[in-house]
Amino acid sequence: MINSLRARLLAATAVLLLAFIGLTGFALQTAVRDRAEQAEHDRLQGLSYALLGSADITDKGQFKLGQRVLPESNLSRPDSGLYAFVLNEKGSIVWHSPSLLGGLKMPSLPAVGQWQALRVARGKDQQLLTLSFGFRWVTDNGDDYRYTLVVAENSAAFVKQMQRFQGALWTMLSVSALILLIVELLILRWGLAPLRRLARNLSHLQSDDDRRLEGRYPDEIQPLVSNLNTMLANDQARLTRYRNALGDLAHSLKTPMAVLRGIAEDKNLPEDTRGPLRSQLAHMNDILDYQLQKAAAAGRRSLARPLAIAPVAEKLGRALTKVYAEQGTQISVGIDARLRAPIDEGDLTELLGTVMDNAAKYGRGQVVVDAERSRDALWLWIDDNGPGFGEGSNTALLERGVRADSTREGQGLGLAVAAEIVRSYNGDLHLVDSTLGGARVEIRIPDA
Amino acid sequence: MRALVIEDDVDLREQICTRLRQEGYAVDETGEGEEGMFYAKEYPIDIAIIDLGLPGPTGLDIIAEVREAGLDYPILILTARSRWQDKVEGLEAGADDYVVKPFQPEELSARIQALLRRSRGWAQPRLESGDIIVDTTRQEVFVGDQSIDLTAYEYRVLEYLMLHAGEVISKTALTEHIYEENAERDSNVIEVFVRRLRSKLDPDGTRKPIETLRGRGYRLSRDGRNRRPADASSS
Repeated sequence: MINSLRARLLAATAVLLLAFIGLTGFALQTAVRDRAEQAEHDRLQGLSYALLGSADITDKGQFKLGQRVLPESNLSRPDSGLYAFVLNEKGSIVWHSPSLLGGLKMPSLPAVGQWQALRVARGKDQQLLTLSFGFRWVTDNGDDYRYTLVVAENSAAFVKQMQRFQGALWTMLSVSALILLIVELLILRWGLAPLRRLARNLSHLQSDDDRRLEGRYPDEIQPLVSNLNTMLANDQARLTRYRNALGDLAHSLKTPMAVLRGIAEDKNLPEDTRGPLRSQLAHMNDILDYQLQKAAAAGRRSLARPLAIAPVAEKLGRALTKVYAEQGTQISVGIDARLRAPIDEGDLTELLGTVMDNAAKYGRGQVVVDAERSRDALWLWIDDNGPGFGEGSNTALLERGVRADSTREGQGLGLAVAAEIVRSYNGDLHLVDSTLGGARVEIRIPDA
Repeated sequence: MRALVIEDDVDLREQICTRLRQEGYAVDETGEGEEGMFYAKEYPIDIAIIDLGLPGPTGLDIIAEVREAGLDYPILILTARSRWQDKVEGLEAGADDYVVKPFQPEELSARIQALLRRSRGWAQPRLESGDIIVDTTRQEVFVGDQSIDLTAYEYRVLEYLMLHAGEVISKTALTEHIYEENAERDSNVIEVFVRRLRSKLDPDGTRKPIETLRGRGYRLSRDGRNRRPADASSS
């Protein structure tokens, strides 16, 4: 299956063109050949008439032809390739032109008054075109003779001529086929240019802040472009709307929860009421957080513009430095400013935010963030110099709900949420040991 | 310390304000963005606690305007949106820390105290000046090993002077940072508080930790001693 419009069109055109050229060549060749053979036939016939015109019978009944009056000089030159001879009733030669040396065996002879054109082989390598005419000669004294006149010409010249013609014909046809194919290629380039422009714009779109296809396209693809633009606009707007709605939901649920959380601290309430109230609220909060975060994750989207990674990480670094100023946490981000990857900004902020926050929270004042691109994926590394994750935590920490009932709030879900985001990009997240002595979170997000 | 609380949920605001007042803060409160914007820019605020999800001008707008006006008191944001994008937006706009709802009341208090200390350049929750020690977490005051019993207002005055140790604080400034906007004030009361503080902190009058600069205000020395003549240019 050919997977390109241009290749398809080109292949179809090439086949069509070759068939057309072939048929044309064949028809031309046949017509010209017929025409040439007819001309040769006519020439031999004319020669026959001329010979017959100068023929006579002697009184003794001998066939005779005046040598002076031979209509073609080639008939007089020995072995010139043009021959004429007359056979009698018994098939013996009664006259032959001086050019004919030796005889010529005719496979058949025409009836009286009939013309017969034949190709006859002579020797090994000669082909003769022959025209025979059967006739009766009645002398004045009433004698009746039956003769056959045979005119023959070596076909070598004819064959050569035909070959030359064919050579010229096929050369011309091949050259014109080639020219046509090149023209066709140019036409295809020109005709398909809007599609190439569309593809180019689509890929540029991925690095452009304005998610819209600009320019006027041919009528056939303009609807496609318009629809794509609508889709792109809606896609972005829907995600924003959706996230805002989730944010509002969080706000309207969490403010009352904060009030309840405050009530849970009221010393006038019995401890056996406050305890469950606190833990249930913490539980509700974790579930809410997890589900909201999960719902807000965009995941992989088509035509997402590749995002610059460094600014997001640096912004988070600045924010977290402020938050952990008390501990004097150093957050260093060493990401190449040119590094880009197709990931949603909200998702990356959430992912890096949770992991970097975790590192700052559990580290001992040092967090290092780095990122790199491999051939087909984005790699992120977040290192800290804290106590590390410990054995067997790899799966447990990433499971949803682990530590949801932890006494310190909002810690159990961080990595589970991060893992969820990474999963939505078909990537993976691993907890390993850092060279800084603490934990390293290693994240791989494949391009597709 | 004077705190501004901008939170549109009445119950939550009341809870926060009650707690802060118990902890010795003078608290101004509002649930409206417009009003909050005015308070934040016009009142002598020491710290602001601002909810991001306000009707009218949002918390972000208020923070941005406060910073644009050149005010640098610490701002703590309350947010229900636990998404990092929202938190980062608030911090980038000029907030110093955030607390996500629902929060533990103690955590809010701890964050506020930490921000206040940090803004005055103190790294520890214990403020020390010579042998005077103020534990801001427990609101306890010691001179040497001895615990000193202070009233709420006396504590407020001492804490403010400690946080601004070495600076000259006018009576007006002290009044403004100790009383809420609509409280009845009498600047003479400040003199009474200072006199009582002096007698409690330095009963035998040897160290003179709080210095009076006539017509200008008070100064608490960094090392708790004022033996040398008053040096007005010290900061």
